[in-house]
Amino acid sequence: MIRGIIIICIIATNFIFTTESVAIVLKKKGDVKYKPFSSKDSNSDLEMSKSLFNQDQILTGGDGFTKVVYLDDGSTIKVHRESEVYIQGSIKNRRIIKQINIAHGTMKFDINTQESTNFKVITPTSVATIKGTRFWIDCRGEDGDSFIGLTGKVEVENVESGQIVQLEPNTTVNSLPDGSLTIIPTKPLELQALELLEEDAGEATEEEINNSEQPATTPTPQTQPTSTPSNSGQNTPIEHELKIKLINANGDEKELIIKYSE
Amino acid sequence: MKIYLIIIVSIYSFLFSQSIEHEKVNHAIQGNTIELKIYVDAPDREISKALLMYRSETHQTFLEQSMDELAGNQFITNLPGYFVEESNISYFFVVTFIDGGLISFPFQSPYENPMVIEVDSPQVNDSNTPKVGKNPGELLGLKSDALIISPVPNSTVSSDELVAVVSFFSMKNVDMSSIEVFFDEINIDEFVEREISHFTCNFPFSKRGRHRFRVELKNNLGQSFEPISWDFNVVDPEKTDWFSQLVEHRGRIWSSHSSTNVDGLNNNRNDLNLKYSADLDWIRISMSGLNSSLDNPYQQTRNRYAINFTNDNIKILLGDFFPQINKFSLNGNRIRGFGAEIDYKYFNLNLVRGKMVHEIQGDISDGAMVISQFQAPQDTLNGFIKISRDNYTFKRDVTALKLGMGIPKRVYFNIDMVKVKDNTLSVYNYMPGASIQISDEIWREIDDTTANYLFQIDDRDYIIYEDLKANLVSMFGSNYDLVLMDDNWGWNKPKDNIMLGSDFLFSFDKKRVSIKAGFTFSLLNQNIWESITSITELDTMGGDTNLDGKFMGLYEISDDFLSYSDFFEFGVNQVPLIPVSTAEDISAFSKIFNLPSVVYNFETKMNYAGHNIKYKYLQVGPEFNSLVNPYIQTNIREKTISDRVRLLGNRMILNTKWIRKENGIDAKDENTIFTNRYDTNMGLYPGAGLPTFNIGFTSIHRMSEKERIDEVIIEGFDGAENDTLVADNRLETLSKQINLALTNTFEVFGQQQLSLNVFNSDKADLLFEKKVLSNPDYYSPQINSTNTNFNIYSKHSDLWESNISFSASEYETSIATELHPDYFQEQNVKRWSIKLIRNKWTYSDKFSVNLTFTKGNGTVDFKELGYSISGIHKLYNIIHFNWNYGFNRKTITDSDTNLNTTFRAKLLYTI
Repeated sequence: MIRGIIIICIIATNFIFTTESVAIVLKKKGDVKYKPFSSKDSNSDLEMSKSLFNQDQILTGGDGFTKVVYLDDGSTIKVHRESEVYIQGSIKNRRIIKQINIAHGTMKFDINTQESTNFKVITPTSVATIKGTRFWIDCRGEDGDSFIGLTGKVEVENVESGQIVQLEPNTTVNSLPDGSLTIIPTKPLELQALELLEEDAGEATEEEINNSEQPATTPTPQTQPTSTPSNSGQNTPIEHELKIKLINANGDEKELIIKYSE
Repeated sequence: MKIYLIIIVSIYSFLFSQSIEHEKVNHAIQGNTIELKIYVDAPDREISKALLMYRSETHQTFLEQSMDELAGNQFITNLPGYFVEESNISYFFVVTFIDGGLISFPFQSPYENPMVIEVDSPQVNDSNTPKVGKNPGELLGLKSDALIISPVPNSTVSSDELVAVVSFFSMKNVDMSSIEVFFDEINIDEFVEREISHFTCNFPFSKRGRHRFRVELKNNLGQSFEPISWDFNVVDPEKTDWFSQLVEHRGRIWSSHSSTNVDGLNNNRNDLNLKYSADLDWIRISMSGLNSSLDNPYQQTRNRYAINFTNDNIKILLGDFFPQINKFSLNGNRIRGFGAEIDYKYFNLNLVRGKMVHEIQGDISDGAMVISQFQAPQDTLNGFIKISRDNYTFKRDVTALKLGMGIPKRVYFNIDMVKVKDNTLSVYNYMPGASIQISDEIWREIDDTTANYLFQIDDRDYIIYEDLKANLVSMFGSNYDLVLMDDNWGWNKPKDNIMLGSDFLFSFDKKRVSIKAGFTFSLLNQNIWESITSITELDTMGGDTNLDGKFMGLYEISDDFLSYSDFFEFGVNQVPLIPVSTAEDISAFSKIFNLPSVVYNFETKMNYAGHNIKYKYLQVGPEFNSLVNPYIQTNIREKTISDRVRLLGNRMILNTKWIRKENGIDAKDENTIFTNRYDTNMGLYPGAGLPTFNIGFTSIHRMSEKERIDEVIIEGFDGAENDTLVADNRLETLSKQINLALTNTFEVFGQQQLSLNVFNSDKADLLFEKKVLSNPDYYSPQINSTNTNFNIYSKHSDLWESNISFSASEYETSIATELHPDYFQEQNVKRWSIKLIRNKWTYSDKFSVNLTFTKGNGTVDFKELGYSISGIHKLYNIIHFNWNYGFNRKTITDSDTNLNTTFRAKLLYTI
């Protein structure tokens, strides 16, 4: 028990005294306030390209939206309207141990595979542990949360009951203050409502992302982001395959396959 | 005393309301020529010259370029395309007046606050990544673990959201200061914000299309990593409001106020400006307006308004516009009316219909009507009083046409016509309620000078026109007639002016050689009230008294000659009366190329072996007149040969120029002034981070044709002594000028920019010894001056900047003579200035304080202490508020102390 408290204290101290920025604001629309961890003053307007430090607070208004990217691996958090979150990150071996504390609001997470420690999302009701995935959270503060899986897996724990479930694609986990934790198939209308938030913010919807990730025969304009940030100098080539079917007068069919990469 | 006056006048003029109007150029495309125009709002002062001062942001020294004068106090010049390179260009204007005064734009501290043209790069489609220069011994293929966060490679982003973010979080040894960022291979370091482990680059000038970012970086050992580059697409921002979805539009409204107090004289000016443009895809509409508090019904308007409609081939202009028909007849002069420019690849047409000045009826209480003639009765003839109009301005109508055709930049030919005519019907012959001054001579003829309709102002006698008409009999008796004149008034005579011109352009050898030639012919009737109305009048015009059907007994007059009067009204006040020389001892070739009212221009350019050689010939006849362009210098012939060459990989630029000018080319001129001017200028730009040097030499030799004194001996009558008149019109001066400029940028306690300028000019009077012999009161034009400027600008941090400058000037004018030792004047002026700038302060984007101390010794001893405070405030990037307050205290020895203040403010709202 004592050892656990010491470890928590060390981690907390580490969080507090981290002075290097851990994330950056990549997009901002509407009313978005920001309160630095070091400031006791009231919130100020958040600006594009703003560096975020451990424990910085973000508050979005009725028309607010912001996109925050962690600097070590490009993991992205899109904070939609009427949300309040704390960005946390402790630096260890040039990696960021990431954690997001949510008071309330709606967010979309696009988390790249975490190498050393898991990415944690903490709400008043639940704790989500992520290895690498894409999912939504609708946090209703003290009234519970909904986790909607898109890709990969997320481990969701209800703080009250200690119950843990796996969030998978196309499922929704509801975590309530009474300790209940349920998994149901995702309702298309609920997902559509969330995707509308993305559209309003000028972000690519899930459908657009899926389309852009499939090999295309013709190049099409892509909407940001089409993929997660990539490591420079080691750009992974995207393989494409173009199939052309040819039929002669006798009805013989042949297929010409052109493979190329970019 | 002369210097004293010059200084006083200079300060007076500097602080007074004269100003320069200029539509700021904000953006330019790399390699494209930039046209810059100004209008000098100083109608009562004669302008000596207008200068454009400009420099690239990588240079410290401002280069100087004379501007070409257009009509109506307008000046124009072009920044050459080769100068519009990667870096932004700072510029400002300086206008000097004949009376010694000067004004600048921007008005306040132009050296410190120049305008900036942001140079946009052309989009690059080339996907080849340039090779990075390696130092000897450097490792090859050193890869980085940088993470491109934004924009995601191959993604599409809106131009207003484009920000490059690259993280080096997982790397330990990156030298962040070594990072260089290129957008389409243009270095955009000035937009880069470097953090501990990442950088952001918010580049605001991206255009729609495919683009590339490239990042170069080094580790702490100075070894280069392999550059990082990635491509992405940029689209225009999504329009949000309903109107923006229909049209792309933007606009600005700004109000400016200036208040000056010079020696107790107040001068206030308020302007309200509007600019708005909308793009409807098929047509672009732009509107602009200016409402000035200085507008006065008795002067030409200072207000401006314009609406333009433009598409790819046609431009319609309504309101105030500045057409360019011909360089000599109508070239950028303000016209109010209608204009059309139709421009297709092989054909273009310009039409102009409007007025260059509007009619002014005059002030009824200030001599709008006058008694032009008073005739007492003679024998049986009644006397008369002629009432004429005065102090008026006719509306001056302008009609112009230019038709051009050819293959673009290869062969081009145009013809143009400009017609300017005063509208005599625009001014009324009678102004109700006008007071008419009565001269002493007429006053004596009045029967009852105590009548109550007569009144006095400033000891002068007046009567209202209606009272004069009603009381004519009681004033002068029944034998006087009152005549209200419809024309031939004594004030400005109505004029008619026609100009015909043509230009021819031809280039060959892949445009390495271009030839341009043209001419412009003018006819001016200086008083169309005395135009020829019949063939007989023309036949017997001037000294020709024979009615022989020939003009001046030389040229047959056709019967339909008067049908051309709609085109041009001929008359005795015509200039030239005969547009071709009638002398028989001149060859036809010489007659053709020496027509007195013709401008001939010829220019050829050759671009070979890195040299840009130009030859230019210009001849403006002594009787050439353009009412639209009245300030063109006439009676001159000018030849120019120049060369510009770039050496050492564009690091050195050499300019050489020779100009030969003759003032007074008319055959009747017996004292032509010849000027030979040689200019050499060398600029050395060794490379980024290294000092730049610029050195220039100029020699100007002016010499009159006369080498001897003119003596006229008047023989005395009846044994009286002969009288001798002496006229010494000899002139010979030699001016030598040297200009040296040095600039350097370095880092010591922040970023430092140092510049040093030294200018020396010696104008020697080579005929002083001879001229003073013939005229002991001779005042020599000899003048020597040296000016040294030192300036250091420091950027201590993003928040603090400072500027310290020192200048010293020494002048020596004229030469002391035995009779006039006071002719020699000497004046030294030293000036110290310090400016402190605070950026992003509470409620202000920029706040600055400037302190200046000037000390003068010599002919006038004075001390001057001044300070100014200025601020720039922005509210949500929509409303801008700029203000400036200046205070100046000048103490002249043995004279009064002058306290002068200025306040200027500008409020700008951007849509």
